[in-house]
Amino acid sequence: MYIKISNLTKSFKMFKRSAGLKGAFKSFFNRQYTNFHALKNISIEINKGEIVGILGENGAGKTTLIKLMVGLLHPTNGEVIIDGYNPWKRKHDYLKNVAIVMGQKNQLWWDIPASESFLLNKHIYQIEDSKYNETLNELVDLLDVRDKLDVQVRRLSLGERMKMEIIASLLHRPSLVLLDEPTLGLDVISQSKIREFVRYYNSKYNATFIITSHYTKDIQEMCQRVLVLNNGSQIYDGLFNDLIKAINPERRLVFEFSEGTDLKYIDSLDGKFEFQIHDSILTAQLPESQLRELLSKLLEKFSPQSMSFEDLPVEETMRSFFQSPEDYL
Amino acid sequence: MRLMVHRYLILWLAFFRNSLSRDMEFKMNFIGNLFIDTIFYGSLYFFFSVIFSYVDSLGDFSRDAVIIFLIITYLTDTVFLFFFGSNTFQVNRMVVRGDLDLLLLKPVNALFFISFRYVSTYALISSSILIAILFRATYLYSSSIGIYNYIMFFFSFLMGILILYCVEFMIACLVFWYKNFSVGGWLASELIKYSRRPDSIYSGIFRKALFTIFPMALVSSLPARMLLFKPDIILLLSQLLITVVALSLAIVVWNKGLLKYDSASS
Amino acid sequence: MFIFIRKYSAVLKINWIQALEYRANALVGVIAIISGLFIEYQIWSLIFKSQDLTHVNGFSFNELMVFIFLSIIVGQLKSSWHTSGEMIEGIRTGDINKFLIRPISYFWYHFMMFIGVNSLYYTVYSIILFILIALFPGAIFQAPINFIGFIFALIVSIFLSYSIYYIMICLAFWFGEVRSIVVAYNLIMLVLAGQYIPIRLFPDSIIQIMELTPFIYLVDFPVSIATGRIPIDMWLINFFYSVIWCLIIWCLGHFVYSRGIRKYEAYGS
Repeated sequence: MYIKISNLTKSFKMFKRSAGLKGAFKSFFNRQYTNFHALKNISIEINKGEIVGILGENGAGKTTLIKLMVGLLHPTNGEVIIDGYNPWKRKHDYLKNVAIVMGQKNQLWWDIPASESFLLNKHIYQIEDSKYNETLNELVDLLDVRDKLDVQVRRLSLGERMKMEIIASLLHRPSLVLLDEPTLGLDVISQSKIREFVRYYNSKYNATFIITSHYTKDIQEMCQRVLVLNNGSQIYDGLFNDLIKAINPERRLVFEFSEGTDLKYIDSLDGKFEFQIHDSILTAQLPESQLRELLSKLLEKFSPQSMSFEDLPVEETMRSFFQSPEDYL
Repeated sequence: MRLMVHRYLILWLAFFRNSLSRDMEFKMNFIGNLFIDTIFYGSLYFFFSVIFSYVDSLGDFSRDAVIIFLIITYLTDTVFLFFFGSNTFQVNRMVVRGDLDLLLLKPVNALFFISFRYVSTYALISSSILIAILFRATYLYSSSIGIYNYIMFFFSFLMGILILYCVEFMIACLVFWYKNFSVGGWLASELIKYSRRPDSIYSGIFRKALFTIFPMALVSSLPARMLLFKPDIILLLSQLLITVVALSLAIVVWNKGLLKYDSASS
Repeated sequence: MFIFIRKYSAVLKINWIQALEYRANALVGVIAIISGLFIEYQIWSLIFKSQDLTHVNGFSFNELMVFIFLSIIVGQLKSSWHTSGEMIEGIRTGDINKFLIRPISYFWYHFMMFIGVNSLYYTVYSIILFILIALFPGAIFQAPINFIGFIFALIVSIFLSYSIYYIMICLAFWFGEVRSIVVAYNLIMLVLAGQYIPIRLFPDSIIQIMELTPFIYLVDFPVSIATGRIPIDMWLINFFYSVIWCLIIWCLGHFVYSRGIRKYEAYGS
């Protein structure tokens, strides 16, 4: 097993303060702390070469989990073992095989061209010249930023900057890559470029990826397997598609009646199903099973002029899921 | 061991290269910083010239000795700035904004990384000018300065810079306990003021403290003594001892701080 | 007027709360002034002893120490590295736009910030001042009028100091990064405003030049009133000059700002 996380718990001491001037005064002399459980009893096993997505709302514990895996935090309880290492010991041999990209933090130096920062990473990771040039060329071409290499980072667009960050992190060909919100704030083209890149890199080098993202689309396109966190607890670990099936998302049916159809029978269905009729077009937005029932009822009586099914955006599905996850699992 | 030294030397050169490339971007800053240095040195000089309008000497430091002491103080300041100045200054921000995270994940000694990451390249210019001025001043100095004086001064000077670094760095590390210690730079500058006066102005138990537990007299005063007065090997060795203690203490504080950071950050 | 005060007092309150967050700042503030006094104590006691002096320029040793201590405190109160850095950054990054579209004065908003950021030190240093009065009665504030005069002179000093910063900050409209000018000014003021050595101990020629500048009103004037070194009949004329200086600097700041903002709006950032 490449990554083994067992019974992992992490709690923080938080400093509490009531609002306003009076609260500030009080805390000046006497601070109160409370314990906050960021992660509760997480257990996962991940094989080499998997791409695993971590889903969850703000404050669900995604970043905490990433930080525990990369070795920035000590577990309060339980254990993380990656490739036989204990991450928080931060052994150099371990770190040489890991990379982390955090959407909001940059390792590139703002005022100098990215190529200069890459050179620094070459020395930090002790990469040989030939291997360095080979990797750099490959990454630069894949992400299509060759002409930006010698531009000061502050002059780059957000998307270009993120691509440079990714290159800087992958120069040493890590076997484990953690991406924390890699597409945050990027335009659609950059987003899809990065997704495409992750899939390519994963299949070519068999590198393991752990990804968190606000965009469910990121997860859907890059990861087969997902881990869902809710208030620090792990509520789902499995295939993304199975999760979607379990949620049983609504789909949309558009059913156009042929001309001159008597629509009296339809009224008897009203009340049983929810739908609208405009001109001679019926649209219904219902969970899969109900939709199928409605369709078979319609087909018993009518032959359609035309008919289509549409999936709702996966974002909407996940939104309704997170409103009350326990209803679905 | 040699391999290690070689590796970190190469790393430092890469830091230097990065920093130079950055500083070349902002040529005005280059000049601005030299301007600030001149003002700072000028204000210290003005202070002592007012003092010397009331006295002829400060303890065993004559007027000329104080001027050489001042040049050494400036030189200490710029060489410190060249290697460490921007780094100790950044520690607070790195911790508060969480940028320390990325640094800790490099397969490099984190203490080395955080201490040497940013080189203030412009200080190279002020240092060269100051070294020239120092040689000129020692040449004109009334009593003779021998080769032993220069050798011992050299070592004493380097240790002085290391001590300065330890003090600045340990204060900067307080951020690990205070969560935000933006006043660290201020605190450090208040404490370092003690090193900017010749040790002969202090007396009694406090003077002893300045040579031991609060070793501000070892930063520029002791190097000045090595250069201007009779070479004293015992004094140099005790400076070495205190430098080693200070460095060890800095490492301990850093490691304790990291433990705190690991368990507290979110 | 009332609305004016209400609007800006909200700014002040926010900074109060922030300042209270950091107990460390209060601690360092106290260390800074006590340690600063201690260094001066060391060097002056050596000077008095080695030359067998009883007085230097009309100061006995104790009087000199009180004068220097008060100078360090006043010097600390009138300066702010924080506000100036933030304002320069605002001009550089275009953050200033939010003042241009809001019915709030850039000058007064940041003046309140300036006071808000420093308010922690106002409180802490007042306590130290009261301790000083209790321990050494007669050293400062010999009469209630000295105290009242000191407070007024201090207000003038703080306003004057801020207005000088304001002009330097507005230069950022032309030069972008002007932090080095502010740092250089701060360093010069440590000496020229009399925070290290009282201006009264400077060579006469320099004192004469200083009297033609607003800088003597930053530290020397309030401290001289507090310690009774300016005869009462000289107060009025000095207050008059200091207020004139405030007006000149304030108008100058206003002029530089309006020129700068015009350039800023014309070219953007």
